[in-house]
Formats: sequence, structure tokens, C-alpha cells
Amino acid sequence: MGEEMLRTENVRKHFGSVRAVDGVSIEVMKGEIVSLVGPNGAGKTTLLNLISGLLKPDSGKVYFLGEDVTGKRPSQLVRKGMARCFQISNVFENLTVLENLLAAVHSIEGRISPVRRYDEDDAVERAMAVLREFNLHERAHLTPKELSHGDRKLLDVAIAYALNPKMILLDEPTAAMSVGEKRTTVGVIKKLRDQLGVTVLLVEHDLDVVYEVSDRIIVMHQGTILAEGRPDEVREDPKVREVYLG
Amino acid sequence: MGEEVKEQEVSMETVAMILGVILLALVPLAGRHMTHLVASALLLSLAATSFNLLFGYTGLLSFGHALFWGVGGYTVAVMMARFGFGYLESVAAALAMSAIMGAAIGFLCVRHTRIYFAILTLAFGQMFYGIAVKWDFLGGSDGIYGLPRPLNSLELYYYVVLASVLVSLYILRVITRSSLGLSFMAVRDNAFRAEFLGIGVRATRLKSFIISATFTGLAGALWVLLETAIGPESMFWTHSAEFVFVTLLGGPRVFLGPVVGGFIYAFLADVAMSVTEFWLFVIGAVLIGIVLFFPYGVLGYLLKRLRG
Repeated sequence: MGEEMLRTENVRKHFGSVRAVDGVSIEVMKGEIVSLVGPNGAGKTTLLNLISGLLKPDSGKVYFLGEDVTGKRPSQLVRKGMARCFQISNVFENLTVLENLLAAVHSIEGRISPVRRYDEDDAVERAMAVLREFNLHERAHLTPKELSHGDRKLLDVAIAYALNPKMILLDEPTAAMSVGEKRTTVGVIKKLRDQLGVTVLLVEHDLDVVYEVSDRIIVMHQGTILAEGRPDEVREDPKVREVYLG
Repeated sequence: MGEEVKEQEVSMETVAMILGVILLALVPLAGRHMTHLVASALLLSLAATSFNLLFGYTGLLSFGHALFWGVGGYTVAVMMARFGFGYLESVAAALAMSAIMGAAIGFLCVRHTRIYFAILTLAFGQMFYGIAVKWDFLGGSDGIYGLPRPLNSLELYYYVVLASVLVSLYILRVITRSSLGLSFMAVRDNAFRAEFLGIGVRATRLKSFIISATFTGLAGALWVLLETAIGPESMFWTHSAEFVFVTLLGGPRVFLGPVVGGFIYAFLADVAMSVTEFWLFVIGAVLIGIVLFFPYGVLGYLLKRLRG
């Protein structure tokens, strides 16, 4: 087994009487692509929110690269190397695609200053290099409103990647995508790990995508872990079949 | 081809700027009334541009910005009239005081956004207006008057105002084009995502607030020396609304929008006041027209048309 990237220890989050996440312990190793699946309301996005600092767990711990990061804010976790994308693409609507990337580059490199131009050459070069990785470089001067749905989602991932992350949390990257766009996204997820060296934790509904990209799959149901294993193991698990097929 | 068009555009902008500055430099030749009017317009423009750093660039609508104009103005008036300082020290103190007040009030206000932020800033503005009206040290409702005008000449002082405003606008322009300016815009567009970029949202808003308050304070300080007097009405909420109005008039999404708005407003008010006592009605009608027909402001609309 490789080195540990992320670990949750018995994390719990209740909203009133709803046990959204009810004592979940997971582990993600460096270089893995791990998928969180489960029916609606299983607690996948809540778990992602607990990991990325958007929510504080009622109890339990989150460790990132061996450090206890429970309750740390998203802006602090980003600096430690944990980036996140969103279910509904979440970008800066009035900035150009390039400026979206530049905001990430300046922030993560600690270059925010009142006298440094935001379009200085080396920052633009860095941002354009990221856009090229995601095949968005020809759309650098458009605003997100002018992009297709698939490209907007790609931009969301590109912003996260521009933050030099060790790990990216992806929340339903293929939601509402066409078949062609899904193929591109599968390619991007593989590329993140294989070529760019980023560990990926993925929440995804499309099981074809999940089976194709994942090293391991964690199945959640009603706030707890129902099953965990390699894609072929999970596919054959009777408990999983029951939850999915009734 | 695209590059060529861009270069042409830049040079047109530069030519327009140089012409504008030459024109501004010639203003004292047009008589005292015009000199006074243009100096007022310049200071209103600076205050509105500073206000717009917070509004157009950072997405926070302050309805109490006249407070900082008043802080700058009263600091100069008190330093000169009560303690006998010269105008240079007094303006320097006004800058420091506006920044400190901006930090203190901003610290409390940036915890909120939208209508809550607007109401908080409005409340702070009215609170300090109340203090100015009641406190004898600040001259009560009469304010402080009879200050000496720097250089003993309206014409020479006009150039002090012109130079100060141009330098301030240049600094604000540098800031809006900087990586800090980009983080203001990122926070404006999507504070939630900005947090996931590692941008401290409150700290970023506070920086914008302090810079904005400081330059608004400078405008107020220079204005007191132009008028040689200050009264509490300079902090009243209608004065804050003037900054909002001027910014919408010119266009909040263009850097020079508030400057264009400031000049239109100052000249419009001057003409309307000389024609009718119902000049506020004229101003109100113009505002309604702008909001209905020019949602990007006058300059915003013109640039949109020019760029197709």
C-alpha cells in the first residue's frame, strides 16, 4: 500500500434528526482515484463538504497528509494542497477564462499585491499552460457565460488544478453532460492522476464513469459505508445491487 | 489583426486622456466660477471612484461613504482651526485618520454583505453625522468655517486639487489592474469559490474598504480647503447617495465611469440650480432615465457601443 493522502476517522454530521454522515471512516492513498457512490441522500456531498472544510463535523477527525485538519477553513486547506470542484460549475462569471485562472495562480503563489499587475507575463504563462492542459487555451478571452456546459465544468477543474493541488475533490463532474462531454471528462480525470500526479476523490452518479476510472469505490447508504473495494468487487457485491436495484 | 485593433484603441484612449488633462489644466482661464465647479467635480469624481473600488470592483454597496469624506474634511478643519497646523500636515493627518476609521468601521461591516452591509454603513454614516451636529468641538450644526485657503489663491489651489486627483486616480488604476484588484473582482463575482482559491474573503473585503475610505477621505480633505468650511451635512446620508448616483450615472464597470458621472452630475446640478429651485427633481428624473435606459451608465454604454 502507498502513502496516505487523506483519512477520515468516524466523522459524523447530523442535521436535526437527519444523520447525513454517520460515523464514516475512509482512506485515500497517494496516486489513487477513489469514487464515492450511492443513491441520492446517501451523504456523499456532505462527506465532501466535511473533508473540504465547508462543514465542521459534529465529531470525528479529518487527516490530510497525516495532519489533523478537522475544522480548518477551505482557504487554509487549499494552501495545504487540497482543491475542490463543484456539482454546479462554480466560476467567476464576469472575469474571462484567463482571469479565472490568474486569480487562482496569484492566490496560491502568494503574489497578491496592490502593485503587481495581474496580467504580468509569468503569471499569464502559468495560467495559459494550465488552460492548454484542459484544451481551453483558445477560449482564454471568453467569459464563462460564453462557454458550453462541458467547457464550464472543465474550467472549474482547471481552476482547481491551477492551485497546484496534491488532491482534487470532484463533485459529480459529469452531471448533465452529453456522451461526448463525458468521454472528455473521463479523459481529464485519468490525466489528472496519470500525467499530472494528482490524487482524486470523486463523487459520481454515472456508474460507467465510476467503473472506468476508479481504483477503489466506496459505496455510501444512509450516511454510512455500505461497501468498499475494487470496481469488480463492488460490482458483484449483493448489498450494493440491493441498494441500487431495490 | 486583433492586436492592431487593441493598439489603436489604447492609443485613442491615451490621446483622449492627454486632451482631457490639457483641458483640465486650462480651466482657470474660464473664470472663478468654472474653476470652483471643476475642482468640485474632480473631488466628487475621486470620491465616487474610491466608492466604486468597493462597489463595482468588490461588490459591496456602501450607503455611508460620506462618513469618510467627513472624516477627512473634519480632520483638516480641526487640525487647522483648533490646533493651528498647516494644510499639508492637516491633509496628511486626514489621510491617516480616514484609513484608521476605514479599518475600524470596515472591520465591523465586512462581516456582512448585500443589504445588511448597506444598512450597516448607512447606520455608521448617520451616527457620525449625529456626532458632528451635536459636538461643539466640531462646530455643531454650523460646522467649522473661515479656514485659510492654501496658497491664498483659488487658481493655484485648483492645480493642487487637479494634481492630487490625477495621482490618486492613477494609484487606484494601478490597484484595480493588480493581483489584489483581481482578488477584489473574484470576491465580488463568487466569494464562495474565492475561499476555495485560498483568498481570505473578509480580509480582501477589508483591504478594499480601507483603500476606498482613505481616498474618499482625501477627497473630503481637499474639498474643505476648496470651500474653506465644513458642516455636518457633508456626512448626511444624501451625500453618500450622491456617490452611488454618480457611479451609476457614469458606469460602475468602467474605471473612469464615476469620473464621467462626477462631471455630468456637477455640471447638471450647477445648471439645474441656476434655472430652478426644483433642481433635485431634475436630478431624480435623470437618475430614473439612466437606470431605465443606460444600465451600464453613460460611459459603460458608450464603450459598449464603440466596441460593438
